[in-house]
Amino acid sequence: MRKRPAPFPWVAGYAAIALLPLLAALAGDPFVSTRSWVTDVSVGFGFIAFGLLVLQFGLVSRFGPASQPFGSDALMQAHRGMGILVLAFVVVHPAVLADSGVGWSAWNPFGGAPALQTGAVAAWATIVIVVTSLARRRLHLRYEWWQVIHLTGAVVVIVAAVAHMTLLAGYTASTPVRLIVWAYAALVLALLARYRLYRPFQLARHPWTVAANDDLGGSTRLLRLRPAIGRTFRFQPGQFAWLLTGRTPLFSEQHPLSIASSAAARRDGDIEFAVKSLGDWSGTTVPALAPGRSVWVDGPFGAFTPDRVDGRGFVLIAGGIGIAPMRSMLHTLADRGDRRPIVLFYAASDWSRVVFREEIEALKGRLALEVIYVFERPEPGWTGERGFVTADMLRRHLPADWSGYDAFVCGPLPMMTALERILLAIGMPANRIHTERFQMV
Amino acid sequence: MTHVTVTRVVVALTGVFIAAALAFGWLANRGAREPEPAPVVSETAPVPPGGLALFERHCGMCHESADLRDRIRAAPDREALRRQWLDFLSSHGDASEEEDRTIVEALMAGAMGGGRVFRPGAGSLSHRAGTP
Repeated sequence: MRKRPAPFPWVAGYAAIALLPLLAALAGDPFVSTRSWVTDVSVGFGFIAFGLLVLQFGLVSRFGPASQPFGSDALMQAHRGMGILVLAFVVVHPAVLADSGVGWSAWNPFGGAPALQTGAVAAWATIVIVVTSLARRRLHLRYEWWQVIHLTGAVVVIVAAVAHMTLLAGYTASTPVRLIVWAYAALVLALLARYRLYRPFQLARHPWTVAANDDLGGSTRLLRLRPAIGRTFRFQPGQFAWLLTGRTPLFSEQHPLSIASSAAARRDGDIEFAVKSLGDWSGTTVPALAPGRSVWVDGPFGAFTPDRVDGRGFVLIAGGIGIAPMRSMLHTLADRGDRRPIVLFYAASDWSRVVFREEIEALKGRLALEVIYVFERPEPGWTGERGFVTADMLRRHLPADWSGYDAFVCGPLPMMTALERILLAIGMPANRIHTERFQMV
Repeated sequence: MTHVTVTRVVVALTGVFIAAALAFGWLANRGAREPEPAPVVSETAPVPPGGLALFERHCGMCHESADLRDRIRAAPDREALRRQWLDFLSSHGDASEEEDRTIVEALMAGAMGGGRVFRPGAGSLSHRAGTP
């Protein structure tokens, strides 16, 4: 079992990077006369917003040493939360400057002094990024278009922010501050180059081939991918990878998918993804991936895996396509001969939405596995559990002594939120409850 | 649960950053002082005392004095320009009426007498270094 890293050094490092431009500005203060305290507070918000903007790129750069300790979904969640904070600081910065006589002209990206124009561009680009992220579904914005707006907007924000600070030449008149600002801009360029150019070129050298694309029913397909000859792909059960389905990995559509196959080494090295039809890509592009077609896999990522915990048993709660990572966990544990008790709650609308039923039944012979199906709208005559997974249901089916068990929950966002509360309520320690949330947008 | 930890970290960092911005506002002004009156550069065009410092404080964040100086030199009627600017400044910026007049006179005198140039926001860097 891998030990979890202590979060504090990472958080402290994050804060230090965010605050460095501000500290340099304080040390190299080029102004002689007094300024309004409020003006400098607003400048402070501006500098911190810039540091956080740069770090936003780092949080989603899929940089291994940074993402492995906490899992990519934790970093994405932090990216979302800090993005809202950046927006708040970017708005407060000019709003507070109204005290210094800089009025609504500070919000005009089409006119006025270039120093203010560039600031307005950065502010409006930030607003567009955050609004389209928070309200993508309400705006009926396709995920692929959102990705384009998000990345383009982020680059515009950084370029405009650097131009704004340089043109103002206030605190950036100080050489150390100017050097730090430009170094941060260079860091963003480097991250972008790594993430959008270097990584795709690396991936392009190792294409995967679609070996099979089977319809499992219930609007779900099982994609089996074969790696390039001689390549092995190591991952932990429950982890995910980005699947790139464009003509090349450069500027390709990519979506995160849980790996659904066993992490115990296969002779052919194939991996499998279970994809439910939920939108244009999953409903149109994925079904059209014919055997022999080339695709690319970027991964593995994620900390949603039993390999990182020391549970003496497992509670797996899957809702809908959330069964995909659980399938990987079950197959892996079976292939390893792991006899720790496992209780799987598989929630679905009815039998027609259940996938891997025969496999799961077969796995009962290789694992100490108990399976409870929970149907929201069962067929007449169903005598099993119905509705949603509740505290009572858990108490009925969990063994009398389930202390030391780890729980893994994967499914729709409301389900995961509800079950976290329920598991805590029945006494499961918070550090033994594991979820993975990707529905950020 | 990781996501609860992440939420707590984000909230904590929010408090840290807000405090840092507030502290910056206070600390940045702790060592500042009212500058010495700007020395006269030309005998024929005396620069009003403190006028350039007022320009730095109220205007320098967004405006470069060299641009304004060029406009003054190019203006066919400087007196009309002076009146126009005073009228404009009465509803622009946060300087008082007397400060507006001092700033405009300083710009006029600087344009005619070759006074120091202030880059937006930088203010009197040469003054800080001790050069005239």
